[in-house]
Amino acid sequence: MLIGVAACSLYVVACLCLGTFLVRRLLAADDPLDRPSASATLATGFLLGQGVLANLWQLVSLARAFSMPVVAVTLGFCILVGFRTTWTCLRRLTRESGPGLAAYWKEPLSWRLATCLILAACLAAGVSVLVPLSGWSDAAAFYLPIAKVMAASHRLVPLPGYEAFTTIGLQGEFHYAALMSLGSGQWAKLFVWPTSLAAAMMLLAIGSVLGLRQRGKWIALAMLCTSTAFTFLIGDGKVDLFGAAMGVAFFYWGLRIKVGSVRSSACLAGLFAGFAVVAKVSYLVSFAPGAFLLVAWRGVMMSSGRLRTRVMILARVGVAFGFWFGLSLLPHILKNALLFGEPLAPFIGSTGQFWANQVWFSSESTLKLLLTYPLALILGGYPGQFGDLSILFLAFAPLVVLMPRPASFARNGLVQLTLASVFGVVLWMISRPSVFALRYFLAPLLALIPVVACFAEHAIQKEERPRWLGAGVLLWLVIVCAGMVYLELPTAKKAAQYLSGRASECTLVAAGTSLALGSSVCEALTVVNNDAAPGDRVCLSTYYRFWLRPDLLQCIWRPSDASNPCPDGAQPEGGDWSRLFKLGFRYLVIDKVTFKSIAALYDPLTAPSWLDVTTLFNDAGYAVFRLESKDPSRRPCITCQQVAPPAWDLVKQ
Amino acid sequence: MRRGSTNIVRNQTFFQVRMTRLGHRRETWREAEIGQQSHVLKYMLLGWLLGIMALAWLIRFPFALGLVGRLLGRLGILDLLLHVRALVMQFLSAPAFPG
Repeated sequence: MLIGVAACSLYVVACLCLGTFLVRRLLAADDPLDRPSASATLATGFLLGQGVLANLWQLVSLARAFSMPVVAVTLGFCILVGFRTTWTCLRRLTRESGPGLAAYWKEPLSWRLATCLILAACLAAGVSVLVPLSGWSDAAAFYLPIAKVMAASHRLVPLPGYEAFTTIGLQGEFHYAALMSLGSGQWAKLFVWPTSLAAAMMLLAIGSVLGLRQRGKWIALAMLCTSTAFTFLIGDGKVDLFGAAMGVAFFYWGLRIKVGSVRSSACLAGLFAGFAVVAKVSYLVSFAPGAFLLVAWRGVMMSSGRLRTRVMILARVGVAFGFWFGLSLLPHILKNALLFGEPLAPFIGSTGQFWANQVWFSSESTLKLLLTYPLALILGGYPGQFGDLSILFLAFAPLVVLMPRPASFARNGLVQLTLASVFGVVLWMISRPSVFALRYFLAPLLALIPVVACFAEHAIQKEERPRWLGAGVLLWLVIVCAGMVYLELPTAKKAAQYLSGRASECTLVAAGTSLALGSSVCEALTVVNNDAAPGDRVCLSTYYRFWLRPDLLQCIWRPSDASNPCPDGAQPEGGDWSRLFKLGFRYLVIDKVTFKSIAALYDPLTAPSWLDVTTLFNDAGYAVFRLESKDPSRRPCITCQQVAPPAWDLVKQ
Repeated sequence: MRRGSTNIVRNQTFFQVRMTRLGHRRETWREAEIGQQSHVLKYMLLGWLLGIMALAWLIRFPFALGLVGRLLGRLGILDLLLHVRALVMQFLSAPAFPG
């Protein structure tokens, strides 16, 4: 894990240096009196560096040159180029935080205690990143395995078993792959934590643009770290937070599009919007239309002149935004064109559409879900939902009635941000009504946090004695943050057990996982790792595969095994065992709960006499079998070999 | 009562403007004014905060039932609360397809 921490720290510094350098260049022509705060610049720099590096890795891996030296040299170059700029920015951050700290110490003791609790809740939300990968996480099925394969093979190819799914935009996966190249293993997922911090900093920066002051920012922070739709994603290893952070950065730069900073703001807004859509393709529906709306709105409102002037300014903003938005999508389009021959997959094309058009619930349940919006976002418990928004949304949103009427609704940033966010959420409700998981439209939801925090801050700041509302808001913050800390205690205990060596990785993978969700997958795959020779083929009947060795991961079962029988046309004998052997499989791993029918099909007693089937592992959840031929004349027709080292490929005999 | 002056309209909260347009007497909402807030509005919002707090406590932090469960049991409302909780949870969830 120490290597993981070191690699992650180096990677964070490289992203920060590269991004801050680029941001500084982009903002060079802007009004120096109107430049963003140091914290906003650093968070923007970090996210921009991430986005640029992910796209660079995409091109490098498509060129099959994604090796450790290439990654290390690139990171070193990034640090070299941007270190001075970043250092200057950090010094500015120290200077700028002085007045804020002085104001903090003038706050009443009750508020300072509440902020301590908010910070504790933030730490509690992040502690899950220290727990080993869960046995049922999607990260163990796709996001980390594809990175593991990329790091080991130095190239990007469709992940065996998840070929169609590889059409999605990849961004977090490239960071994981780069970190794994540096030796961080599964602790590549640590990188989600600084990304979540950057998202939090961008949210607070949005708050500043909307006029939020110190208390409002604390409220916004509390709302973020008590939103389980956000916190569950920090330690899980899923890549949704990469898209969410980019989306939040877009909203900040979108709100900064104004006279004097059109070029830089529209450029950054376009880049972040594009990065967000690539990182999470569902954002094409739930985020991009709202993003276009916000940019167009800002463009139209920049001038109060004649229609022609307005159209000209809008065109200027639109072209700048559209160019950078399109540019950030190009590597993704190139990837799908090269790997699948379908540049616009998964939305247009034949590959990957099955998962893009999902239906999760019956029509009755879907109707009920739609009728319970927005309550379902906050208190919903739907299957696959994976977290809610903070209950503070529900508590503080009605405080809007105390907000003063703005001089102009159309020019008010609060109104613009709210409508752009709500527009995205409503579009998702209409287009995918039964796909109810907040991670699919997380960025627009998070953008509402500073809005609601504005309502709460205004209510408590304008209130006169007796300050019951202020007391109510404070009590809410204390209760919800204390609840968050309490709920994360078992996770903290797990992390402590792992870090102190009292629990092994496989024990923690199994702990807290129900039998139906891959409790012993780590142990089962470790047995295979210890027994298999390099390049052995493993037939995997489980979704979760991260723990398999990288060479074995490249040789596992894939759909072509089902469609391309062996060329000699030999009829299978003894049921499916002989077919498995013919296809070159030396191991069979079955998740006996999820794949019951396959488990029933492969009974070792039904194996043909010439095939020796040994049970290596068998518990209530998983079974592992090894296949060996007793007859030297029987050979597999497919083997896995290093045709172009270090990658492994299937070769027909 | 219609707003004749732009300045006055700008100083209204959303809620007050809406209520005055509905024909309520503005004075109703400005009794014992605290800035631009009326006491009525303020206590309505406080009631909302407390009500949502109770709902959240019931749904999100069921462990708290254990802490005060005995007291609630003695008062005879524990079963009622658990029943309400189950109803709310059922209302805000669904079985996966094709349920």
